[in-house]
Amino acid sequence: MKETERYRYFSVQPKMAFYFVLFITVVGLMAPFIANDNPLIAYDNNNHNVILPIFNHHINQEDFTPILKPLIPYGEHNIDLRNANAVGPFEQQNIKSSYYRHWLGTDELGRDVLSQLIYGCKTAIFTALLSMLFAAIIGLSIGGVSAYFGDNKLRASILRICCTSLLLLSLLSTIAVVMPWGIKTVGTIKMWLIGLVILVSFIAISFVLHLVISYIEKSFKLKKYPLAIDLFIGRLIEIFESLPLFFIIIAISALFKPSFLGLVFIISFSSWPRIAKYFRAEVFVVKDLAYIESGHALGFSNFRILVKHILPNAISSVLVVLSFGVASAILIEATLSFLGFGLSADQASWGKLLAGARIDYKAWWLAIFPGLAIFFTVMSFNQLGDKFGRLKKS
Amino acid sequence: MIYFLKRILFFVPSLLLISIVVFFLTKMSPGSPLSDQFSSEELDYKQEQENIKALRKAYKLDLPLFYCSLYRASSSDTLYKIADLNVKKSLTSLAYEIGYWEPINNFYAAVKTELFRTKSPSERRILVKLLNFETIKQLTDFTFEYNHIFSELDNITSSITLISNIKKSNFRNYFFKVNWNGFNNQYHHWIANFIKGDFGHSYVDRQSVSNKITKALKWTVSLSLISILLAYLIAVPTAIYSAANEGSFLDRLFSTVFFGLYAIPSFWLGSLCIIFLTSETYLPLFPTYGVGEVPTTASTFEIIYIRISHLFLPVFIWTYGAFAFIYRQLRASLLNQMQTDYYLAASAKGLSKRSLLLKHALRNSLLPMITLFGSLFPALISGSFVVEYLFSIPGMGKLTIDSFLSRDYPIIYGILLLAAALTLFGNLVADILYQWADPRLNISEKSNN
Repeated sequence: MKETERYRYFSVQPKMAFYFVLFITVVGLMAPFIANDNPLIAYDNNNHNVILPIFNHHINQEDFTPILKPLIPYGEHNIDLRNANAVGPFEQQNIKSSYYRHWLGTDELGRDVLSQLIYGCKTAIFTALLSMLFAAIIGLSIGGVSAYFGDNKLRASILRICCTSLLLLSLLSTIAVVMPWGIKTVGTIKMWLIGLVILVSFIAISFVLHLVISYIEKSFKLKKYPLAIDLFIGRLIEIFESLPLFFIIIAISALFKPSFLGLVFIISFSSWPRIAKYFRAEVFVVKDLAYIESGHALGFSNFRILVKHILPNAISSVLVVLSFGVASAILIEATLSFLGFGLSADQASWGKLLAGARIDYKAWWLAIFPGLAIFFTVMSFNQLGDKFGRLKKS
Repeated sequence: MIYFLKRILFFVPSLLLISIVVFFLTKMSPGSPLSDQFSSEELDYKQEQENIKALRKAYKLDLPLFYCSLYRASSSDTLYKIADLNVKKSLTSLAYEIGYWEPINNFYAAVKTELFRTKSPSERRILVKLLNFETIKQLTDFTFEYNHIFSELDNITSSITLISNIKKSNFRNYFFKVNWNGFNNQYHHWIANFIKGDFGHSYVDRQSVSNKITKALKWTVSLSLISILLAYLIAVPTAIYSAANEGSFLDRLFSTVFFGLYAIPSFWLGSLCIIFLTSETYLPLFPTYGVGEVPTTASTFEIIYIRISHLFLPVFIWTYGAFAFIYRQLRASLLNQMQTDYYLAASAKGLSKRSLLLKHALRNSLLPMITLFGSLFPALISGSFVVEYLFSIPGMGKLTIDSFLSRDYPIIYGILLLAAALTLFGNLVADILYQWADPRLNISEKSNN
């Protein structure tokens, strides 16, 4: 998105950016250990042993004595009713001791802004990293295959083309059958188990089919035709890039039930073409280098050459796109939650905190702190991307 | 030229693809705008059903979805005739459980005739509930529970016993049938009308879609035109000044301020502006939201004053990113041009600095400006969601969000297709402008790599 491209021009030391990204990631991953209403380690008075009650929300506070308390005594869903209606950081707060102070104030419902910021960090980091992981898997495989095989390297007989398309069709229809009502009828069996069985069986079937078809091709000397994969994928990427993606993102997140995985899916769906495009351009350059040719001469398989020899050489440009992608994913997540789409109501997010400032204009702390968090995070990821880009050039 | 013709030819499949995706996306999404109008307790059942039928007919919802339909052997291709989404869902799940559609259909028909016949509302409520069970066990349990009512309704009880006693053949779920529906389907009617220019009518207030969109477009187009114009008006002179006096105090000031602005997310700066510049608590310089009410007796001067005071902040939020971008790009490329040989030769010839910069260097640093111009078209239609949402401006972005939230599908279709068309068109225009600005660029070759 154009919106993110501008951040890269604001320069900070790349080292600072790297440390900031590291800091944000660690805070995001460790969020429940930093801000939690339960103690990290406690002594159970009834059973006389040491317990770790971090994720147990239904614990009775009187049953144990805390040994190690977290830095901030408020969790993601904790509502401090005595400090509701947005109490500021410098205002008089109705608290037991200074340990319970809301250092950055509270929001409309009485949630601690600092703990919301930390959990928002978790949401942002998880959304961005997961969606970029999926986008990278899709984009790298599609872009790599497209550039590596080009328009005439992959040849197949009509028999193979027919069989492959039939197999793909049957896989799609199996998914279509299992997905909507498998959960209901199968009930006790886990959904992922069914998925795994289907996947494994299809891989096995396609492998056997591959052997059989290769045998037939060889013995009957079937004529092979080149497949214009690159042409097809290039057009596909072009069509995807011309889609009004922000519209589609808003459409999907407004029409369907908001969920974390849905958001991840939307973002990865909208960002894979970019990764595929960059990787494709990079593989075009690398695949004609001499060492790849010697790999061919040594009889390496295409898969091995692509993954073990081309990918490491082309990874720097992928890193550039990925770090810009992470920045833009964080921005998309913040914007969507700011507009009120995207995430379920109980999940903390920077954008949601910022939206809280629209309800109560005197609560400046609701506008300043999440905004600063978004600003610095997005900027740091863009700086990293810039740094990778410069490394590649030199 | 052939390349551009090819590009234009690519429009058609892309737009068709987008239209199909949009169509099925909205059909898949839960909730229907008409469902609220379906359920009204006071009305007579018969009358209500007829209302629904008329409404569905008016919006052409009683037709099949697409040219062809793919469905399981255990379900039916006439499911689209059932109006209520929940009933549709529970009936299909019942059909999947036993593997046949006919007994389910008999059951549905029996319940329906009974619904039309009965006069007592309590009985009707139970009958309606009967159509909302997703497993046979729930169904039989329910009939057992209300045995006193169902013992009199022979048709229904016999159809339910038939369903519960039938030999289940689940394997039929794994066979598919394809049915050709002909041209009389929802998608065909919609896309045909769309091509004719008839976008349909809003579900919510029955206004025509084109009417609503033009009303919203008026605001978005004027705002974005003002913004872009302002962006160029501010950025181009400052960039030229900065390039001419590189390293001067003003140059450094401009650079710092613009780069700083450039890095701030617009929804954050917008929120900050609203909080600190419009609220009574801090500094109420501007009105908070809206475009302002203009009284009929107002003079031109007053109208201008009201509009400017309302639109100053939105335009600023909309613009600042763009002018920082233009400033940066133009300054960098002007500085680049000033080191080229032709520039040195021209300055050695004794041309004035003014004509050097404005006539020679500026023309050659047009390229980055075009990128921005290409993104202008999509911006025209989407407006800026954030700005319009923040300041409650009745433009396209706000219309989009509102229509998504109220599931006003005719408007959603219209906006999405328009946005797609304009995005494609903007890309094309940008490509043509590139070619015009720098004939050395061969786009048709570039795009192959």
